[in-house]
Amino acid sequence: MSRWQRFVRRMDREESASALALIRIMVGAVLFADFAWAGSLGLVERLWGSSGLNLSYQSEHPSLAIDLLGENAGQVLWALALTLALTTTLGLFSRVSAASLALVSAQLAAIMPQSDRGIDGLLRIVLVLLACSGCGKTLSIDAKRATGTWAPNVPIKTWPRYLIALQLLWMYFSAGTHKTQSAWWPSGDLRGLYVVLQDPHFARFDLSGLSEGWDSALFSLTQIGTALTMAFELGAPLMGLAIYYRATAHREGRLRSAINTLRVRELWLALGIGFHIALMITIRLGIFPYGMLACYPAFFRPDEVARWIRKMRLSPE
Amino acid sequence: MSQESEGKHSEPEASLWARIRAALIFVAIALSLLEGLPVPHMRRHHLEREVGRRELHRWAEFLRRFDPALTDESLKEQALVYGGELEGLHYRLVEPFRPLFSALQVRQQWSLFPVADPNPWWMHIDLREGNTWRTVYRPNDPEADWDYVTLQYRRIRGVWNPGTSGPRYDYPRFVDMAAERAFAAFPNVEEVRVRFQQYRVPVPVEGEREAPAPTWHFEERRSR
Repeated sequence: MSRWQRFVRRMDREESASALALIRIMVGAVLFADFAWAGSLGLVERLWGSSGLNLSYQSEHPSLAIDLLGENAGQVLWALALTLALTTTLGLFSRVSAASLALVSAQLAAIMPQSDRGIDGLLRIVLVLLACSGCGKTLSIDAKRATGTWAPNVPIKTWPRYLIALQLLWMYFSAGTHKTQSAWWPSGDLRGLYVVLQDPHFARFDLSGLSEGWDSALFSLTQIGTALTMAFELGAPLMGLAIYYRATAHREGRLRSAINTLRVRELWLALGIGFHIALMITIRLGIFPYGMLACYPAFFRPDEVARWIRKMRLSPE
Repeated sequence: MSQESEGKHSEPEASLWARIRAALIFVAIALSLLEGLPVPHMRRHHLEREVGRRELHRWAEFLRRFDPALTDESLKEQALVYGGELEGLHYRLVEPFRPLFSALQVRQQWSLFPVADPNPWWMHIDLREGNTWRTVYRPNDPEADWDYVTLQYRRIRGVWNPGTSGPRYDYPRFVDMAAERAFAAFPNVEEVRVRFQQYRVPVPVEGEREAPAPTWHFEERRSR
């Protein structure tokens, strides 16, 4: 069988819908919380309205939404985004909800580009992949309506999960390749994280008052953290290889055997989860760590996810 | 991922749709990788900031092993020329497919703190009553945390946090917003000032160094 045929077969495979359903629920919830937070702070008009911070409404070539909806575009889009994030989470018209949420979020980004961060773009890509998948076939209102049970074991195509995993790996690797400044490398004493933790616009703690001893200890710790961050980001392709080798463990090969024995996949995932938890604790990055972790079920086999769901007693044994 | 067999046993022929779908997935991956190639977006002002000059010097020092005549200045000019050509080539290659990325407002070049700047900015919002100025907000200072929930919200921070090219496009309107909120919250305030302090983060391995005096930038004022 040629490589192309193997690729075609791999993209045609099916698996339980649980992993993608979990991503749908968590991504929808993160976005719902974010849009609701913007609303509760009274920032909808400020961010996306015609009398707000942006100049999109005065542009000669306004976005599609402003063309269609005029002065009310920001308010209407925000209300739609909030509703669609909720229906995506609940799994109500799952595919339409996910696709529409991606498009509405893109229009909000077009109106106010500076308020649209990297995580928003990443989650739009994930939403499009979810819309192409059967992510609403379980753990959803759609599933309840179709089968009478909340968590039926329904097979769906695997490829959207593969692509979400690939997208995350590319994002990390790309972030690693952009860290060309010496501060992130041994030639710059691995000082990157130490410096970032003291950026007042992002830091959660004021570290300037530390005694010399504590400061040195912190510096050493952040040097280890910087090295691990670089290893994690630039090691993303190795994780891709580890996932592939795990899926083809029945085949022979010393590298395959070594990577599987060394549990590279588990090590990388532990680093990733630790990395994002550390970010949540030390740096204010908004929804970034939550949005990223919401996509992590893509790295797990559905049978692993199904085991967790059974443990939570959502599904009969 | 499941440990399925790789088709050693006889499996039915993949359908036409399965082949078309695989081809579409392949094209999507290839286009995304093309768009995401780590091409430098270098500008003269990037290399003329302190952090840029320091990086340039490190690279020049390293490359002088191979070309002793190389200077920091000549490396800067070469980096700008070749970086610009590479960026232009990449732009032309991606151009036909840009509408696909624009529809979703996404790119595939991702960066998270690519520059750990040891000379960070620190925004201050100051209010004037009579002849007295006082700071009511600056990030990460519990003594000056007026309206911090709103000001620190990630989508608002995206407007005021300067980038490598300085203040953002919508920064003047952010100052309008901050002033409007301050005038509403403090009836006696006559003037609002937003400005950024730039200072040096001391790094333990650098030993005792006299820190340069902080400098102030991007000042904007609004009167009631």
